[in-house]
Amino acid sequence: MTRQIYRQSAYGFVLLSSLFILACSPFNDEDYFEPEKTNSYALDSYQGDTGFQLDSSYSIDNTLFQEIKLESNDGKTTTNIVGIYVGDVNKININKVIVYCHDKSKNIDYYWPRIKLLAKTGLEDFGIFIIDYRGYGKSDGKPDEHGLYADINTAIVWLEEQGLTGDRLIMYGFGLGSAVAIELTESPRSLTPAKIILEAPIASFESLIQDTTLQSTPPSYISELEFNNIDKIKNITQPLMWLHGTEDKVYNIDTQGQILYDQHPGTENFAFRVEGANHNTVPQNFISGLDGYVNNVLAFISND
Amino acid sequence: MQPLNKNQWQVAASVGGPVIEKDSRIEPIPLSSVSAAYGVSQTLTAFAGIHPGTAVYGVYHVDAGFAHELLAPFNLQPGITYSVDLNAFMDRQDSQFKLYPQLDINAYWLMPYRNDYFYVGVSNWFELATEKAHKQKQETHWIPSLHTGYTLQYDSYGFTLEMKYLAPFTNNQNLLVDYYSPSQNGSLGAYISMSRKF
Repeated sequence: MTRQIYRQSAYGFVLLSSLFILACSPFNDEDYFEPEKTNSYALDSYQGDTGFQLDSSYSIDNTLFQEIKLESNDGKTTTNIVGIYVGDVNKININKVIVYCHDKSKNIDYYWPRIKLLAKTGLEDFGIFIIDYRGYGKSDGKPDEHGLYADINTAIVWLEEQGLTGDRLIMYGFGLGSAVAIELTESPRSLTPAKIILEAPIASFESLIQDTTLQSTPPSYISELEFNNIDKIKNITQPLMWLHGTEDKVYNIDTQGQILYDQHPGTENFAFRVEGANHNTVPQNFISGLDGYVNNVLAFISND
Repeated sequence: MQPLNKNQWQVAASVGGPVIEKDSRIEPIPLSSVSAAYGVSQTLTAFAGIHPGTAVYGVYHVDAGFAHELLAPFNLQPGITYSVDLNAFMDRQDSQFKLYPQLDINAYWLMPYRNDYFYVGVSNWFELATEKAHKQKQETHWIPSLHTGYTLQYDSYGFTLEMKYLAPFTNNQNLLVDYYSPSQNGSLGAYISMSRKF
């Protein structure tokens, strides 16, 4: 009888352990990205939470933006990616263009209010190009660090084909997008950007991991992702505009943004520690609100 | 938890880890360990373990330490033990080495007419580094957790179910991992283990 209890208990343990392990799936690098797939962009009709809402005065006429489909090659495979160009494509050869590298979540729909806000800088003189990285929105594939760089470079190459030159290219990186903006500014594959704007950037994946574990955990214990912005920004001399919410709980302003900003060696640095703003609310918490945000971005990108 | 008798051996296997929310599912991170313990005296047990679960992720983790009984259980009075454990980590990718000391304090109650026991305790994990990434100051050096469990003891076999509340004083919002917790702090942990004494 006792032997039977032992055996049943041992079987029970093996069964429970097996179920336990099978029910679990390991954390892998892909889990860091949080893409949302879609068959068509809802843009103004997007029902999800975008962090902030804009009134109808920020609407963009349908004739002033268009979907752009591109093929991105990361050296191994070719992936179909989709972006939206806001502005006059026929004036890319004379206008300044902001390449908007979005954060790790959702897709273009989520960032559409931010694009509309940037469009307030004046679409007569500026264009904005936002691209869904591979695996996001209507873009095929799965996201990975080097794929993100390849995708945005593909967009820059397309802009170059339309007549853009590096002196009119401004990189805008929001959150994770800061890694893409910094990479392609520090090591351009095609055009060399003239300026860079970083909103709520990360310092490195290592510092993100350590913010999460509270310990000085080596990043290689967790992930092969690097996003080593802090080393790369040391080689960037282009003018930098940095915006970060003081209440950002996603990417801490001091352990991520401030130490990154401090490493920029350029002489034209503009820092905005936005009081009371969290990760998503930097524009509306700006001094003078949304207008203040637009005016400061406009001043930064206009000043030659 | 409960010290071994002098010259007694025990081997144990355990699976479990912090509970996270992933893809709308709630699941423990599947960590595991295999350990051996030896009764140096009636109140002192030495132990060592390996952790195959982290090796799957490319991180080798071994630990070794001792447990000492300060007070033996008697009727409703719990047995009180503490253990000192050194955890060593090294990863396959970059050969980065880390050492984390751990100090646990436990109280256990023997069940009447059985060899089962119920226990509660606090575990303390220490970060020795003074500097973290990019020459920033390492602010946190003490990460506590609370645990409770029950061990069914059938003669030489033991089966344990344990729940932990890891880092209960640390905010868990907006981190790389969505920890599952009854509050906005820390993470729950779930563990099961099996042991055999010789």
